[in-house]
Amino acid sequence: MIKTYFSVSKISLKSILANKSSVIILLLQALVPSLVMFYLWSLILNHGQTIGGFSKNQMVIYYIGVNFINSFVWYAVDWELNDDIHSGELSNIIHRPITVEKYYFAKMLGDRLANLILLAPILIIGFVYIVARNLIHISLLVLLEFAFSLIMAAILWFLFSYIIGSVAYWFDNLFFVLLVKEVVVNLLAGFYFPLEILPPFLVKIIKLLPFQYFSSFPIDTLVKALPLNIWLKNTITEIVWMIVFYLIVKIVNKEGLQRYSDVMG
Amino acid sequence: MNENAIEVHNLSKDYFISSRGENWRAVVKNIFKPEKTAVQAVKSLNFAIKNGEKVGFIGKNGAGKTTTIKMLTGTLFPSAGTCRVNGYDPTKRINDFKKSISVVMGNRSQLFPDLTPRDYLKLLQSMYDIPEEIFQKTVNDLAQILNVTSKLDVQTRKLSLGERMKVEFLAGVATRPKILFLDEPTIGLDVLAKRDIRKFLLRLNQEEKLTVFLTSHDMEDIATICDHLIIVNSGQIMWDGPKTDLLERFNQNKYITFIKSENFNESKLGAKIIDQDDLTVTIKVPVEKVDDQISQLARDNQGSDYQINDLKLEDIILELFAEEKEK
Repeated sequence: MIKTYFSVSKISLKSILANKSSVIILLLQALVPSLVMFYLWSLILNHGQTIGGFSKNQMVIYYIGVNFINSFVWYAVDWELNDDIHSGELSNIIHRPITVEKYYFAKMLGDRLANLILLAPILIIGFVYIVARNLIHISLLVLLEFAFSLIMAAILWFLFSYIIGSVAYWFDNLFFVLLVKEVVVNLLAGFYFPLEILPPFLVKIIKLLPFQYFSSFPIDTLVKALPLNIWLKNTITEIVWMIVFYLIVKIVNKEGLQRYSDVMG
Repeated sequence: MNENAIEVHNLSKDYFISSRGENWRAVVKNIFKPEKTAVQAVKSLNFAIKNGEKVGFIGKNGAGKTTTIKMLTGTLFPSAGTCRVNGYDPTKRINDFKKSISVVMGNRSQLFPDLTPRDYLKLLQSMYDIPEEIFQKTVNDLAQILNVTSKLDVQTRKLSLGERMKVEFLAGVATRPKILFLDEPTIGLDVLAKRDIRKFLLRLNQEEKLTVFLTSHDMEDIATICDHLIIVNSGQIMWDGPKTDLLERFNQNKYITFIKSENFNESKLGAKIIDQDDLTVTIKVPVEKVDDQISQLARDNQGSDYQINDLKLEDIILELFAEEKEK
């Protein structure tokens, strides 16, 4: 069975690489926000100030980091599910000898791998720049922790988005729901700015939610070099959230697929 | 071993459609208290199909044909009743069941537009766990029959509709299903592509004993391919039996079509009008009265250019619908 999902990932990867427009959009999406933030925060924190404990260098790396994470983690499976459910495309998957959620997960892996391949040159240049300018000290342990957090973030994001997308089984169109979700989750995940900028009581509440693991936690791991015990505590909490989301995915998938009514014919 | 490929008992499907409302007040009210109307797409169907049969599932738009296919393939859950396909309950959606069927829909492509048909076929090979050698041979043979060998490595979006449809067919049977479900498979295709596909299906049925379950508005498809017809109207079965029985039931009549003269008088025809426009009229006449009827029409100077035709499958189905309406 693994061979099947490996083939799905391969097809997904090939689809992205075969489409020139998606390659250009992906590169622009990754580059433009990072460059804008780089110049903006370089100007704001030009005289050694800090915001939320972030210095200029850390802030710049934070923004480059969240955009990097955005490229590799934030796969829009919720939008895809919404489209597939309402257009009836899901029927093409249901009657195949595969599991629906595993199919989308394999598709995400291929898609993310395509991103990794396309953005590799930019990443290498960025990494060399950071190391050469000595902007941040990254130990091998921190690098491993970061890589692990990134994989966990991708899985957690997939499970969360899959649940949101599955709401389409019950409602006609999720367009506005998904739009609002995007803004709220971006905010709570620390995509717009580091969560520490917010008032302490809000930070406390946000830290109880799972959204920080999509963006804020992996980048904190890298930039702040979190002590191992704190990193472990957070990772265990993340795994608990993952199990909770996985169980919810199982339930909404079972109920949703039973409810799925396709378009009339 | 059960000789039935498909068994359907009291199968029904209801859809719930929410109305939007005409004005803003109704739209807002609908958000909090949606008005839902139940539409019964399929009403208590009962039929059985033997292994290796070629079945035409016919009906008007909205008769419940596609809904029935979707229930038989496990895509939709029935509201009531049961069905067994290849001995499996489709609602369980187990992989052995999914591997035993294949679905080709004329109005929904399953190919990946950015990739080549071969990429898609390779994905199917791994999904259906078919050994490389067997799969390659099957694909090569089928591609040759369908005249698409040279198209297998061309990006799908660059193929014509006919070529794409042939590849869909190829993919549908390359997984070696026991039953092939076809929903309007020749929609929008030219005469040559239709001919290739019909020949292809007949050959597969003969060689592999493949059961074919076909819905089509193209009666030529049904007439050429199918030997068993199930005709549905408003979700209920009107006819279920061999095609030859249906043709026999209507072979005691013929249609006479002629160009109307200036003296054309409908009340003097003495036969049932089947179709009429400004120029021509078609009437239904018992076989033994055809000669007398034409002589009478000529004597009354009703028209010219008389053409006598047997009832085609399309005519017979229209007759059946008319009979049903008169009940």
